[in-house]
Amino acid sequence: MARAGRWIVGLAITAALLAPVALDRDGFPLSTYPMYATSRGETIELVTARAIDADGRPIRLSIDDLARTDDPLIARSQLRRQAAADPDALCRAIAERSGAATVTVVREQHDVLARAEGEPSVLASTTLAECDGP
Amino acid sequence: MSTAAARLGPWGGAPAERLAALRIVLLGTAVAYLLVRLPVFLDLGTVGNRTFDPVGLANVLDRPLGVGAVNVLIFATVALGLAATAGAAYRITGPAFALGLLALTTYRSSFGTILWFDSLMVLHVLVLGLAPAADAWAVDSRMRSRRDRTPAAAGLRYGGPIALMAWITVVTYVVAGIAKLRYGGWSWLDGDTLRNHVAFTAARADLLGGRVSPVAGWLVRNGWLLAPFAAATVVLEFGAPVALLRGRWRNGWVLATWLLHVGIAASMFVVFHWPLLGAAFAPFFAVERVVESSWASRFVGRGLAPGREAAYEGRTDQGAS
Repeated sequence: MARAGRWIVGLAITAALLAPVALDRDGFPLSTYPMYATSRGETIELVTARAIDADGRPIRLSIDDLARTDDPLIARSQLRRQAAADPDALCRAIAERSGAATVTVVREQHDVLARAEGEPSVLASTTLAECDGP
Repeated sequence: MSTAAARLGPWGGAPAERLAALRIVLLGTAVAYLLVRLPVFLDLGTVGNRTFDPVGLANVLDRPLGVGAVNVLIFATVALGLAATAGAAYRITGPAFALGLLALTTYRSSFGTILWFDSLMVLHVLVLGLAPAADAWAVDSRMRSRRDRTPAAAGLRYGGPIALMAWITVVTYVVAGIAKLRYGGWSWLDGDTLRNHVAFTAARADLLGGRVSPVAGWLVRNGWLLAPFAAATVVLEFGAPVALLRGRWRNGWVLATWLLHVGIAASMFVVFHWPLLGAAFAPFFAVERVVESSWASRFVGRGLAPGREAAYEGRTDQGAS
């Protein structure tokens, strides 16, 4: 390829890489790379679930039980969307995956600094659905 | 590398073996990533359509693919990746693997969360897939060398794609730096934002049944430690172009940036596999020397055309002049 052609290719690719910045629009694989960039407050709101076994003892649900993934980033997004669409279906799915006797799907708000330091962190909690296991 | 090759300039020419070594290292890493994360990719075939939010190429879809289509895409991409890594029928398998990886990772990012850690890998593989990366140390080059004993000449034909991959790495980090100041403002530098991100990531994992970094709590309690770390992050991202200077500047930037990713992995359990495994930085280095000096040379060395050193004797393709 001629030298001019290489420059054109190089400039075109640079423009493509910078386009998301210019347009302020994130995408894939051309991205604004906003991870960890935004100002992050000291609270988190998310949808999660609590569960108890047949003896009434609380059990800790795994991330796979909750959202069939091992990535908390994906899990939070999935749970938010599924709870918005059909919280009862989400509850039944979690109960089936976990084998818990009772599952409660909740939307909670936590103080993340307190949580990281091992202190009580719940600021608000709303029950979205409750269901029995299989 | 001979002095003749060195004369081609730091970002001008390169021997065919360097691009071949990058093919082996980067495509091999990408295939390994697909295999390690195979359960996650296979699970894409069973997600409900309620969460489908297509990005990029996936916008051509109005609903999720079926299980069969996803599985075909996954296993075809892995098979193409293995063939491309070996340099077999590379003119077909190279571009096809790149497109398969692009399709697969784009699809994976189409369920509400863009997975930024895949972006640089895909961009590098796209460049490699379209480059003449199987002119050495490849099934193709072995077959060709039986017919034609002329070794591949060093030049821009090989150096161009390598320079492009290095440039993509540099621009990617600069864009990440721009994002921090654009979305976070100058206050991103005082460390509070980063402390909150560490705490947020830990809380999210804890509340969703995931694993929490054991150092997250300690870092949050000693948040003042994160102020220099935040400043260093932004300096490294905007300072990425110094990696193109090579020598100590390059080595220092690569080491510091790699340590940054180690810090992110340790404090937040967020793994950016491409830089952590060194793949993001490989285009900055003469990686063929690693292959030549290691046990791997026993395997790839047999693929060298006779008189390979002649390729380093200053002969270049047309673009190198």
